[in-house]
Amino acid sequence: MTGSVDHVVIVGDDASAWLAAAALKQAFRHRALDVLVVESGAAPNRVGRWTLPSLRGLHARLGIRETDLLRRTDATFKLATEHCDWQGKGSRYLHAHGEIGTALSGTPFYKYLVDRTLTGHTEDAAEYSLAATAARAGRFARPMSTNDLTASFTYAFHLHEAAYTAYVREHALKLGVRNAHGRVAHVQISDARISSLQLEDGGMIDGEFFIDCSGVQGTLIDSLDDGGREDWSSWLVNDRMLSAQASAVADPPALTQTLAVDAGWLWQMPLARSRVVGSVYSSAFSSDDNAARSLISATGCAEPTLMKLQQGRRRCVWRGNCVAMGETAVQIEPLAGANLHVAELGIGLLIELFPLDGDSSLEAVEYNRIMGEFADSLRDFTLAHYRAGRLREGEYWHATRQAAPPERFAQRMDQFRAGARLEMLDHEIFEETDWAWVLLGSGCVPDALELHTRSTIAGARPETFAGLRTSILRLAGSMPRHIDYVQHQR
Amino acid sequence: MVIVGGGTAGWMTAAAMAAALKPELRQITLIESSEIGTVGVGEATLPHIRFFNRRIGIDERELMAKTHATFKLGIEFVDWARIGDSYIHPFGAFGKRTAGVAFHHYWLRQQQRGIDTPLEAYSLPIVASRMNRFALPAEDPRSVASTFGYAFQFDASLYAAYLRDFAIPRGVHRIDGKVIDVRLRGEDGWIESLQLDSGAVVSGDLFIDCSGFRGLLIEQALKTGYEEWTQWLPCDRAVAVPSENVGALTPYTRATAREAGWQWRIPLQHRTGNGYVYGSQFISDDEAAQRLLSRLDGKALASPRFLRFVTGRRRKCWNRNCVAIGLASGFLEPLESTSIYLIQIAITTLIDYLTDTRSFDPRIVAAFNRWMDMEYDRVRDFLILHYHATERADAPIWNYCRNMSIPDSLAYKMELFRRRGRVVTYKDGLFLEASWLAVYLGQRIMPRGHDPLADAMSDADLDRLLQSMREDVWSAATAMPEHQSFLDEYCPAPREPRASGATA
Repeated sequence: MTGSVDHVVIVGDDASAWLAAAALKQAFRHRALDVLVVESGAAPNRVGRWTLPSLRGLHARLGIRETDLLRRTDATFKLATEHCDWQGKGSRYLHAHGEIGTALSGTPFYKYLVDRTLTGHTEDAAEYSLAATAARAGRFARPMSTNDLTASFTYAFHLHEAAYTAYVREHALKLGVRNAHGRVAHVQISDARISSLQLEDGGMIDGEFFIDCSGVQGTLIDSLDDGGREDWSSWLVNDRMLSAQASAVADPPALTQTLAVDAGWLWQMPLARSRVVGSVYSSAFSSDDNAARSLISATGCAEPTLMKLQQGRRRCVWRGNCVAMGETAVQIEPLAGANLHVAELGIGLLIELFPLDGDSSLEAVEYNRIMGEFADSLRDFTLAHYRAGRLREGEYWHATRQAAPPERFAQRMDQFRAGARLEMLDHEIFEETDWAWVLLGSGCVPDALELHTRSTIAGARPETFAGLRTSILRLAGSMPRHIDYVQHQR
Repeated sequence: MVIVGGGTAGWMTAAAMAAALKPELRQITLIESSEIGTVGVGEATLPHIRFFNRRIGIDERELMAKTHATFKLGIEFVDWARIGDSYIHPFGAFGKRTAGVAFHHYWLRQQQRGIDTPLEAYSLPIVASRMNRFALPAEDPRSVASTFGYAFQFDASLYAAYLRDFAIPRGVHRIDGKVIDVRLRGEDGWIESLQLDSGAVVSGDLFIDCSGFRGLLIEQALKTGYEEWTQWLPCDRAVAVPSENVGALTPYTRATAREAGWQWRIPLQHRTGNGYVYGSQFISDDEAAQRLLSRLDGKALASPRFLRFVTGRRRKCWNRNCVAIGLASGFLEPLESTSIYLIQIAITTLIDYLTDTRSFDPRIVAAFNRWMDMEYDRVRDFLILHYHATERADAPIWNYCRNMSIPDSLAYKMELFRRRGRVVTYKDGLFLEASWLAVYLGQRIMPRGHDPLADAMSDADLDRLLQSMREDVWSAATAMPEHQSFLDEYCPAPREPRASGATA
């Protein structure tokens, strides 16, 4: 049980496997950590994905250059997600990767918008956000530290899954990650730890530490007593996702769009030369054939790829000498775009808590605690889209609200509804502003506003902010067209 | 809004409410009795008090002068892990984060190579404290001179008086009187009004209980209940006495572990506050007082005063239409100077949460209570650490504390630190990484490992890096003036009037 960890084995084919490999190799280059990825050659379970801005930080640490990434993978920029028809036909709101307005003597600006709503003048938060306004106008430019407004936002990517995975794979191999091909046939356990993997072709792979990116089934982690999965399907009822490539639309904005439909929601996101579309739904309300046919007829896409979703998380993502990463740890519909972010957090925390020797039981306790909190925060944020505001009519939509909500979600919503207050806990994926975008956007109106906030904003007249809206419009208008910006980067 | 009690908690609440809420949104009455003395707790504060003061618009220099305040850079703990030990828990960081890794992992790596440089040498507030020097922190975040915060050591009753003079002109109505009866509403048990000894009846919507230990409203009237923590923090009494200042004025508070608890020493401009916090099962009141008097730096200026308390917290700090603030909400011994902080956080949280002052949404009450529980629990664990992580075996109290079982929320934090120097941190609540680090190491919990990312640097580079950090701290500390001369310049207290009434 002693001796340092010098050989790490990662099992999986997805982006999280290669990101983990590259990040570990990079972080521990001073000690020449050996990292081996065992890939099975499985095709990705989706055609594209949208991400969160923080992925750029990981890219920077790994030495991935953005222009190179854009050129090689067809990626585009993402300033926001637009949610259409969630509150009924014709409704829509944005969740942008940027600030809403500017703080009023320390009070977040969204509280002023709550006050406006409570006094009968509902306003659109997007008009107070450069990111949202630019996204709507089909414009894009990177943020600049020139002034508060140009620094008020950040951005993420729309990625082509296979191209991005291949790109990260190549980068990881360049960094010195080794790879082997094969499928795991048997996991050798001794003393509640994995000692080696036997591949289908008979080959044996030894390692001191293992990372399981094999997918929800968790080939490795499941062979240890891992405490099972926490099932979220009573809250998040969708169990299928289709995705497919479709032809580009003219002049696509830097936006992911979702559209609520009768038995789930559709999505589309732009790539540099095409578009990816998808459908997230519950098989209890729609057959796979029906869902595929409606997606094709709505978008003219190619034959879609089907992915089965088991929304939930593993209770123990670190057990013995094995960590479950990404989708293997947490599976959730992509509404919030944080799926790869979970992997990113898992990788960062693994590096922070990297085993010092053969016994990492204490590290596992800390890792499981923190990743559990992150996962729950993602679950809750996703749930907010379904439960916060007014919701579409219909049997399916009713079902999404049937079960009593998780306690921490209920507490947050109680506090917001009672006094427009949002308090973030220790390990959360989304920030107060993200919640404000979704809660205000979906029409969740608090009953009241805190007294001291009313004191602070009492003097704030709507005219005061007309200038802000104008500056935002002007600045957004001065940005290049999103697609021109993308082409220029390529 | 009716506040019962005119001690530190009562006047802090009144002043903050008056400052935060527009006059048309509130009506504040404070009831205090000139016959009831206040407990002068919280003479030593934490840097957070400066945010509180700034938020309500108090001029710091004037406040310091009027409360005879001195500056505070941290707390010195003497004899805690072993007799002869001394460490300072500073208001500031140790070293500089480098290449994404917290400083202390580099320091640990050097220690584990057998090179022993004192941790203190990497903390400007500690080095300055040891030299009795002080200057205000620099603004430039790149400068080592910006790497600390400060608090005050002051006369808490003068602070309360100062806030009273602040609050009354801002519309707080003060009533001198004693509450003799609390009337509850029949239908829901909410407080309806208070009957005073003068015969007057004061009614209100929200009642704030700042009546101290006894919890006149929250406990005596509403029977809210109390969670005791004496199994982890066994002290239940204190005896306090002021003494004459002797020697250099220290910019820090001292807490010395003793045979049945610990002794505080808090230097103000005109006197030094002293006290002995002890467990009545370990020492008698008389003996505790005697021990305290025999261990003063200067002559005692009054006869010793005794206090009794039960460590723990109210089951609900907010119950029905009553919010308990200060000692009415719970008690944690002042080992880490948290009394005023806990008052402050209750007030600011209450102000942050209130949506009106008439009907109180149970969802908001629940959120407030969750927050206060979290604050109390985090301070509690941090205090337990001081008692539990000791090697002392010279007295029953230390034998008990060394062997007692501690809350899980603390145990795993200690284990993780011991194993690899990882400090479990959190976003809200008191005590950041540097505080935990200072106390873990000060209590002789020495990690066996360190963050492997700290190995990326060569030994020579590491040694150079740490040496330059020490040099930066040393030169910044020596550039500071003496604490006493800084005070004389910045905020001298008015001269005490002479007994004869003669003027200079």
